[in-house]
Amino acid sequence: MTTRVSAVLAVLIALSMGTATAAAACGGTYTVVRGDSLTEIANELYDDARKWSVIYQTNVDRIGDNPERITVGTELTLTCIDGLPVGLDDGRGARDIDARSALLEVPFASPATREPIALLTADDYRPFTDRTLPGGGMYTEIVQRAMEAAAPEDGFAIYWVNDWASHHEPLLSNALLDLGFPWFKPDCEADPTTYRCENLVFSDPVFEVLTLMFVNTSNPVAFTEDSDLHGKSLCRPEGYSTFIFDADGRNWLEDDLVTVDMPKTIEACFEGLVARRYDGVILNEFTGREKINAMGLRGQVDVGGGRPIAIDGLHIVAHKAHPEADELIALVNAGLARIKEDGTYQRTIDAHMARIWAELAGS
Amino acid sequence: MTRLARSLAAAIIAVAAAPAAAECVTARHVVAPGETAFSIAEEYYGAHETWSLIFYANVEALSDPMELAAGTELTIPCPPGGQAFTTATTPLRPDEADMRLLTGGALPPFTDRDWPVGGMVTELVAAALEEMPAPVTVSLDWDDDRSGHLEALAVNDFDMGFPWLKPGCAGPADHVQCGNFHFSDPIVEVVSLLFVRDGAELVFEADTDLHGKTLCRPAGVATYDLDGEGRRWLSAGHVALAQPATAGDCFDLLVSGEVDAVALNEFTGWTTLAERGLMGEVAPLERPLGVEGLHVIISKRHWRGTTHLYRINEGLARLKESARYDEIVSRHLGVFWDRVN
Repeated sequence: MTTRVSAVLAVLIALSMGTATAAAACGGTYTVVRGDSLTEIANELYDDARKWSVIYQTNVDRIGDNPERITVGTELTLTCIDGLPVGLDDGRGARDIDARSALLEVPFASPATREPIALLTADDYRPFTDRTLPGGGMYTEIVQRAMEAAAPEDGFAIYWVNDWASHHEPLLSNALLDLGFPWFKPDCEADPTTYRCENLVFSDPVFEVLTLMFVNTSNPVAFTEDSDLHGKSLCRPEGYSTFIFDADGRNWLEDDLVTVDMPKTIEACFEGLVARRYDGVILNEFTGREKINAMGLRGQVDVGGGRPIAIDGLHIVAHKAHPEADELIALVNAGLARIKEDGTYQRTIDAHMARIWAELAGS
Repeated sequence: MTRLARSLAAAIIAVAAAPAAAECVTARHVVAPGETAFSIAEEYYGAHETWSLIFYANVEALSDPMELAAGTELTIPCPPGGQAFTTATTPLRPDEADMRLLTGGALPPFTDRDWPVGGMVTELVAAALEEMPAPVTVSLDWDDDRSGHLEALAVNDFDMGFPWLKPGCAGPADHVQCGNFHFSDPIVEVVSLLFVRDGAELVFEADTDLHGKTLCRPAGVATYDLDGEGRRWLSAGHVALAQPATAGDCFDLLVSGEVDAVALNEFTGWTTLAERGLMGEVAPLERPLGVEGLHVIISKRHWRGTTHLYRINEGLARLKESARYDEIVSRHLGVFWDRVN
């Protein structure tokens, strides 16, 4: 594979974003020694004893049913969470970078250098991408397995930049990173002029979700036809897709029929919903329900009546400005096809969905 | 309690004497005090055992086929039989589509390869999916041995399966299917009946009337309705259940006096009666055992679990808003009564 990074553009962007510091390698393998327990390892390496459950979930195949019994010599995989743990021998897992440090984390390439394929995602998109989940979330694990199956000769690495709004522009558009996930794909035959259709190349879909409107139970707005939401105030987090508001001739934003606020976090959307500043929060069903549970809002917030807002596939994307966008997407698709063929895809989805439905039913 | 169809010969003549299909126009009927589904079926079709035709044509208005409130306006479909069977539904073929459906045959009139369009439920599912939002391509595979279907659906060899009865999914002791599968809205709701020997003194006014009795239901057919809604006939040991291999075996046990009643959906019941030449010897009690929905299911671990579920539910809702749903149901019921008679 030839160079993936445009050195000139990368330098320009790096300068425009000011100084940045390189992030230390993070995560890796830890070998259990006499006297260890999961809580002690978590306390020592994550500086938070409560994170024992993350270690357990990530390594349940090696630990077995009882998290209180770990065997000396067992090699535990410790995922990178908030920059910890550092200093482990084998730091080849996901690395932690923030938006500012991202630019120097990816070295400038020249035709002489070959770099691993850099994949880009972000936290707090449960159950799909979040480093506190096993495998970094269902979607991250599928991407990891697909890339392993595709086995690009230069290798690959997954980077976390917790600012979705920076992913398409500038990180992917300047080929600072190569592939991003997970992203909804608009209907590009119907709406070829949306930003995503004009600028992104999409992989085959990996997962498909309903996008729902969550409402305050004391203000039960229902969505049956497009005009039901005219004049309403909606919330969707920053960096999330907005094409759904204009798709299929809906034109809620284009014609100013609906107000959409886009704060930094999902929490801010739900807080605004509870405070009746918004009539609805627009999120995919799983992320929405998990966040309602996590925030303890069951009873106060529920799915609105009527129909879903949209059906969307979640894809891996490359930016058309990337000189090898099509080759990268072909590589991802080949990896996906391989893990669908050998059963890895279904096993991975199975394990995550079993946990997701148990959590949604049990809380 | 009276019996249905003491003499089927009378019914056959009555149906045959009904106006030809070409002249028939669907009628409207306002229920008068004292009228029942039986009396209305007698009035329009001259055959009270076809009362469920009226139920199926008015399922939205009637929660209980036995409770007809005076003043309810009913659609009275054309008398069964004689209509030319035409369908506009896109036939589904086995193929590598985005949505691969799995069904099993030998369940007339619901799913059966020898039935027109593969059965009523097959045609309704195909018609509903023509109306689905965010459309995908659809294919259908048949495997008449249904014992492997759930496993094939669990590992996503196929995307969705039908037709399935739904267990009670509310209680803490949920059936395993509730945890593993999403159930669509019912494609059709089917009346179950208790078939008894002519002249038998079995009374079924309340659930407790059957305590101490022995029922028969073929092996492999779900028994959710015998235990649901406080009935608990099987789990509490109130009622014994014989489960021979086939519906025909159940009727043999009934005729030989080894069971008190055969508990079956009315279609399988009538079909088997006709096949065995037991018309006149065996008939259903008027009070139905219940009404059960037939559903499409998809694994909760499918990558399109909730979205495919929405596609079928929304397509079905749109189909029911049109006249096409009722047209398909009544056309298949016509074929059914033709064949039974």
